[in-house]
Amino acid sequence: MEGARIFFTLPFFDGIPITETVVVTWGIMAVLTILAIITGRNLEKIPRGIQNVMELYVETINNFTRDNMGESKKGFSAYMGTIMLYLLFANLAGLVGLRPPTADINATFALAIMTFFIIQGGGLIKKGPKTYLKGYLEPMPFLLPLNIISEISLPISLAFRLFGNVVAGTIILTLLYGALGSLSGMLGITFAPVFQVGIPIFFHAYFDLFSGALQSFIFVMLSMVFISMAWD
Amino acid sequence: MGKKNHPLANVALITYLGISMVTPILVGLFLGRWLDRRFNTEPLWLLVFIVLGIGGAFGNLFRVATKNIPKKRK
Repeated sequence: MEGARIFFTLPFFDGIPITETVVVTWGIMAVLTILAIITGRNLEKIPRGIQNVMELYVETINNFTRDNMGESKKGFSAYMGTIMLYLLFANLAGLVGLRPPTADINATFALAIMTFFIIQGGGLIKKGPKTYLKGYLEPMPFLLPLNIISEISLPISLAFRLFGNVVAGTIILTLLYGALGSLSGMLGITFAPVFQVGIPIFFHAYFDLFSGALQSFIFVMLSMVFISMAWD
Repeated sequence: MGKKNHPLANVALITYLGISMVTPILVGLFLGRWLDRRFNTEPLWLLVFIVLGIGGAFGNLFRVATKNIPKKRK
């Protein structure tokens, strides 16, 4: 399996390649925007239909953020809810035959970098530059390089765990489809790869639904934990 | 703070432990190798940064493990 396909190249600078990752992300953005417009119109005091679902989601995220980050940081629920929705849609994109954007290290790394800057910037602003820089010298001044390495490793581990989980699922499913196709070829069924029907369902259920949802949840959860650790 | 620790937060932190021990060592490895190539000092920086990475890994572990202790004192 190769990396994300390049669809076309924008003629700026040395040429900016637009890969499948970016195009699928645009698709997810469109879906989420349309969903927001449709469900945001005609809001009623007593929710009906889809408004119920959306209110449930928003309330769950609000409560969750408040429980894990504390009352003072519940404003983060917007960021966390957005990332959660995006990651959920991105990881489930494999179900409809698209390449999940999170199977591209650039996408996951961008998200992890955002969390990293919230952690560092928030620590800098909340604690003040002096206390913030002093935090690197704790518990002992000679541990400075250790602290720097563990700070740098945070976005890397966040990005790679999500990327690794999703890309492994994508690769295994690609191999499975290939194997099932050649299996039906070997049995002499040439008109259609019969085995590709039905059998991959279980693998899709595990790798896309279960693993995808779990990994998006863990990403959001870890972002919450580390941001609240750095801001306190 | 009025912050109760969600059980799922702890689950997420436990799944983070493994990768949080590997990444600092890898960061140290690649940083050291890059510096060695640059200054032709093999294997000085490689060893130094791997040791620092191992230390950083334990630092990560320590931070995750002691996360809740100061809050309980309040």
